[in-house]
Amino acid sequence: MRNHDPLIDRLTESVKPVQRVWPTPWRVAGWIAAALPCGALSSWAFHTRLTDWSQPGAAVALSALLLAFVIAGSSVAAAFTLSIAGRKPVSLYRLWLLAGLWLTLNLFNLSSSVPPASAGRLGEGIHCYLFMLSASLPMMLLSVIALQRTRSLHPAKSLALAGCGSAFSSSMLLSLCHDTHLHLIDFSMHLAAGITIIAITVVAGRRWVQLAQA
Amino acid sequence: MPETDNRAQLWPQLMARAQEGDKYAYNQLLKAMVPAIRALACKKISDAALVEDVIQETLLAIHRVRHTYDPRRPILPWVAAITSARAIDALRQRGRRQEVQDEDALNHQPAESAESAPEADELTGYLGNLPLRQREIVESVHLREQSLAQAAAETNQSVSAVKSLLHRAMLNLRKYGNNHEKS
Repeated sequence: MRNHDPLIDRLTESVKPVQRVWPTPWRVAGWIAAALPCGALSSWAFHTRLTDWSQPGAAVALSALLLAFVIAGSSVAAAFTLSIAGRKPVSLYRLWLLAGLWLTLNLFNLSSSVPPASAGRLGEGIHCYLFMLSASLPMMLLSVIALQRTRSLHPAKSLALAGCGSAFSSSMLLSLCHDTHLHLIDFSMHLAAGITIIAITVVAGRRWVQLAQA
Repeated sequence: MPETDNRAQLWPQLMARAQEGDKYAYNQLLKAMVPAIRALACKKISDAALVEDVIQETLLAIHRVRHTYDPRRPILPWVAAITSARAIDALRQRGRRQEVQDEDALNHQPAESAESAPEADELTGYLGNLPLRQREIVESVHLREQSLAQAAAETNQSVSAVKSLLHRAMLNLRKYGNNHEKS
């Protein structure tokens, strides 16, 4: 058995007062308060119009928007909880269920609405894709900064959940300046943007979040 | 670990004081944690030297993330999660190192393994446990000292297939060797 006392004495010598991490609900509230305005500002160049909530399908689109907000908050909360050793997020199963419900709502919107003249054009989908990416950039940065404070024993999972939060938040912002009805190409580009955001968050943030690099 | 549980009842208070910069409390806490960390690491790792490495890594990790501990919560799950993650990382790293060593041995020093092989009878016993194709390749390369290309030509396989078979054979031999040592 090795004697670890010299190492412990060295660590003790360097110990300084530390500020404890805020409780997860406070951290999530802080993240939302900072991320949404930053996302709105960073995607300003892609704002073309505000959603006309008098259009048919508005109720479904509004439900999807609210659900996206709940999923975003839950994902970020799960990411922050998971990043702390020994704690498990409340239930990832519930998160999957909500995401399934959100997908169902959007598919319902896709099938039930009458598409406008511009729908189905790839350009419209690319616009949405770029909007979501630009809106999520500051959100991704905020997520990585928040996770870097605690580090994570499961960096990939924590970052994927945080990326999921950014993706749903930017989807929510997109809903505020988008037609209430969706088209297949358009919605596919929304999903592609979400996957891209999650992938970028995991790849770019891993180095900063894993405990070994602390 | 009921004994550890009893002793660990004071740890949250010690950690709370350590978070405020109390060096004495921190020193006491880390020293008290070492046996518990060792017990947790031993559940995952049998190699004593590696267990000691994991203890060091865990102490360093605890030092880095001490601000994430909430003194209102039990401390053992927090310590156990950090120890478990460090143990898994250590096992992964050791696995990777062994893979690299195996590759190097295959590419550069095929004859050395044969020279450092165990007694002939023991070797025959080990080889007898290998699947036929793996045994043939080990005999060609390590016992008859053929090159990988010669062994490949003789068995009508590609060089990379021969390397792969040889690699799997070495892993199996090591496994048999470890089992033999334990028994």
